[in-house]
Amino acid sequence: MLTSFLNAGKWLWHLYVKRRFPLFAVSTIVSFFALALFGENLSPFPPNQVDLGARFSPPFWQEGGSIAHFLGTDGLGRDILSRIMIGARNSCIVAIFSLFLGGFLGTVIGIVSGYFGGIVDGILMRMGDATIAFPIILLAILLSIILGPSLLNVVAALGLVLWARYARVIRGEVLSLKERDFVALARVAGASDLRIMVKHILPNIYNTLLVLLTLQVGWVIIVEAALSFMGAGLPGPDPVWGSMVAKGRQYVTSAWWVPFMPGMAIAIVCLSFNMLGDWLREVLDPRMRQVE
Amino acid sequence: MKPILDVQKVKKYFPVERGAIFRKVAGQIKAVDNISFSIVPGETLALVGESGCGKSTVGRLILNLLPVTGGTIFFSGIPLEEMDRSQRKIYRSAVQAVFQDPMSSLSPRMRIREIIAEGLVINQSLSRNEIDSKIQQVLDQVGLPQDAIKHYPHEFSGGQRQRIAIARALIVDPKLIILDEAVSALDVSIQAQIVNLLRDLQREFHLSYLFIAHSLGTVRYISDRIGVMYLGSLVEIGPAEEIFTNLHHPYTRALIDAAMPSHPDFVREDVVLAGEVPSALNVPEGCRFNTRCPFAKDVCRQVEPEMFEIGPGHFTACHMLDGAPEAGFFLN
Amino acid sequence: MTQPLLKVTDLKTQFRTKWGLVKAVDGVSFHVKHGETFGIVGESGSGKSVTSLSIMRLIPQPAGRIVSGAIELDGLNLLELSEKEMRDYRGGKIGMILQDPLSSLNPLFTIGSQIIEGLRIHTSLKGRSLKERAIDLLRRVHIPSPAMRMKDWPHLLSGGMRQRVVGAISISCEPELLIADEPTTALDATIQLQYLNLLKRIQKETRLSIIFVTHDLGAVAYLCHRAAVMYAGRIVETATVKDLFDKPAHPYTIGLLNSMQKVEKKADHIESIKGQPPNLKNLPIGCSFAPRCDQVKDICKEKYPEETELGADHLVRCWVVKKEAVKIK
Repeated sequence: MLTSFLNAGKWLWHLYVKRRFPLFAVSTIVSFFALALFGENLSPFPPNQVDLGARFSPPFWQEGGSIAHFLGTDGLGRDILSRIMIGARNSCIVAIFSLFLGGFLGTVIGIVSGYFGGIVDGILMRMGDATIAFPIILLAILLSIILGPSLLNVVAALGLVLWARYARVIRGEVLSLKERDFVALARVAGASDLRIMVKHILPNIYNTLLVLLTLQVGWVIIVEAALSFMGAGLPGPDPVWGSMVAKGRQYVTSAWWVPFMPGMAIAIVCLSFNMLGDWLREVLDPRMRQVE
Repeated sequence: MKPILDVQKVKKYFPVERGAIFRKVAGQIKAVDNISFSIVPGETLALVGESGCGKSTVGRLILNLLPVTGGTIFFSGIPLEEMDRSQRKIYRSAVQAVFQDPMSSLSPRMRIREIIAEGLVINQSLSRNEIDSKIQQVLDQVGLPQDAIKHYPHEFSGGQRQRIAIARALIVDPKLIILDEAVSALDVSIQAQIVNLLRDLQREFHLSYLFIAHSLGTVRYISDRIGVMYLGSLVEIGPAEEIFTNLHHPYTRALIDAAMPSHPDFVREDVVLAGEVPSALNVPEGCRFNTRCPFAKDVCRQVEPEMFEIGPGHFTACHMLDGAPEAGFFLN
Repeated sequence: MTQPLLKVTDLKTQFRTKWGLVKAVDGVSFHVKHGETFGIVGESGSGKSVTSLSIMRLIPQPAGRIVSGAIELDGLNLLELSEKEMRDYRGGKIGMILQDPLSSLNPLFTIGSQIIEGLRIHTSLKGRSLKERAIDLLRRVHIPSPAMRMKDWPHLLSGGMRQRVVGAISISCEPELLIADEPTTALDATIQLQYLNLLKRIQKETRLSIIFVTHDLGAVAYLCHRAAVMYAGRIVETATVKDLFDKPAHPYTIGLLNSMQKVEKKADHIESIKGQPPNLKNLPIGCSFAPRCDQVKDICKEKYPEETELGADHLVRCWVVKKEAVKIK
């Protein structure tokens, strides 16, 4: 028991020192997920509790601020910290589902396109180019106007835009993988196309996929915020980071903390995911693994 | 003896396309051009030649990894393209391959057990126990420890990886194994191990090998017959010792003279075949070797020579058949 | 005896990797005489390429480091030169040919300009004479119609031609030492022979010394005067090529010669060296070849062998050294 504990400690130390483990980023991400799960239990105030007596209370370090409202309050006297904590859940849900959808579609299309090549590849990749060339925010707004604003539609819109980014990178990877000898040998052994794609090609793109997913989390949170900012995001009274910025922007000169605090939350989370992604890319780089 | 594999007038042309939008076929790369040979059970036929001569393409055609442009490949007398489902299934087990790069020929994310068992899993319905005992058996045969199955390819050295690749081919009881530069990438001391292993396995299981290689030393050691390829076609084919001692084609001579000596006493000065292999996009008229051949006459530049039998089982395609070129005849 | 051109003494080059320190070259000493071709033979991971890179001081930084030793060219220790002084030596007094001719040439410049580039840096030639010199060099490496080839791009040339251009660049400043690291491995047999003959001829004309790094004993027999056999970062045997093939003393050399697949004669059986190549991260104490050696004694597992002199220019590091000639099958 003790030795395994020590070993785990050694491993963590090795990760941190030798491989420059991004401790800051990962702790931010862990707290982000914790907030998404337990935000209600942790937040000091209910997010929608109006207290007109405490309107525009500044953050605690400014004159007139109080420790109770740590990051201040908005125009209705709602506690900003609590609203950010609760808002994490929506951002998290949107990020996870849209990345899952986009990643799934992108992987399937990327593998099929790269593996079969020819006309299939031509059509799928032109579709991807069109998707990437189209202004994404506009596309998402269009979708949410047509389908009406809802969580599902935001996820669908983001997923449909995201797939092309994955498909493009994964197709490139598949193009080189399918020329490798182990694919030829699998074919000699009589493996079907499906078997080759699932058993021989897919496992070799997990790393790329993981890095891509992590790098896109930040992007998804920003786009979701932008959608909310423009009123095409999640509906309802519950706080969303993007719409908190949007609704707070009129107070930017008088009560700067109202839009600034949720904006800061967005920035920190995005930065953390990007740092994690960069680190993963380095650690999972096959050139660094093959040496052993 | 009836041949197990019979390659008849096989051609493989790759179209070269030009233009970004409207693709036009601008030419043909004649990678393999009208090749015929056969292999009988238990024998090793080596295909030798320089890079771009089409020897690897021949292997891939036999493995059905590429469609032929013309000609027919017969396996046990049945043409490949006329095989039905069950014959195809048999063929897939009967013909196996080991490639050059042991890094690239094993899926990096699969464990050795899964890699070796793949052919069995796909083509035969065996229980887990039966598969395990077969794996045990082939691991023994190729000289790998039993606990290898739990590991991943990158944990092994080059020679061991090639043993894994051989085990994978062996497990489905093949009749013919295509060895495409199977030992070229290995270190000298390991090469000898693997070549000896291949020889032992051949004797034990009466295997046929198509040994595609550029190293003539290995070829002389392992093969029964040798085919010499130049620019997509065979220029000489015959029993191995005949090819080394009683060869007729000037290119065969040049290739053997270009091999590195095994002792400083065997060094011959200034034995050089001039020039380089022409592009397969632009095969010379007449004999394809005429641009480099010091004996080329007018007929060589106009008429493509046909294969003539000059000894038992020894064929060559050359207009200048009067005498065999002596060693070192390319003296500058 | 005259002083050798190059004298390497106790060279140690190490790499720091994620898995610890790798002693790629561990105490290598040899010398190269004027006008001689010296072969360094070894299998992958033997340290032969790292040795040649160390002489050029081209070890990838910061992972790799020359830890100790001396590399004296004409009595001057290259390891004590500043980086700027060393730059004059590279391409000046020392020329280099690497294995991959494609990556040795910059695809964005014509081959003419790449030859002229080196001449401009290392000689005082100017203008027309630069160009004439470059054409002359191409002619010397037997490139047909050299004046026209000057304007060609590297990708238009075949592998053999490209390697000739690299050769032309490396001899352009009349180096005293040419380091050729597996220059013919990527070439076909007939082209390889052409290239080796070219090296021979250049050497005859200019009396330069060549260090020829290879895994191919046959090429050593063809080209070299003396050779060193490397195993796991150390030289196990140094001898004239004739002695190396006739009187090999180290069991590894003997094993290598026995496992050569000879083109001159059909062998009934070829003996191979048992076991796997050494793992540089985990070398045994004592002789690194001991786990694969069939004559291993207790002392081999305890202490690395000292150097034994068997005759003029014949050095071997082995505890069970054979004094008499060993018959190679």
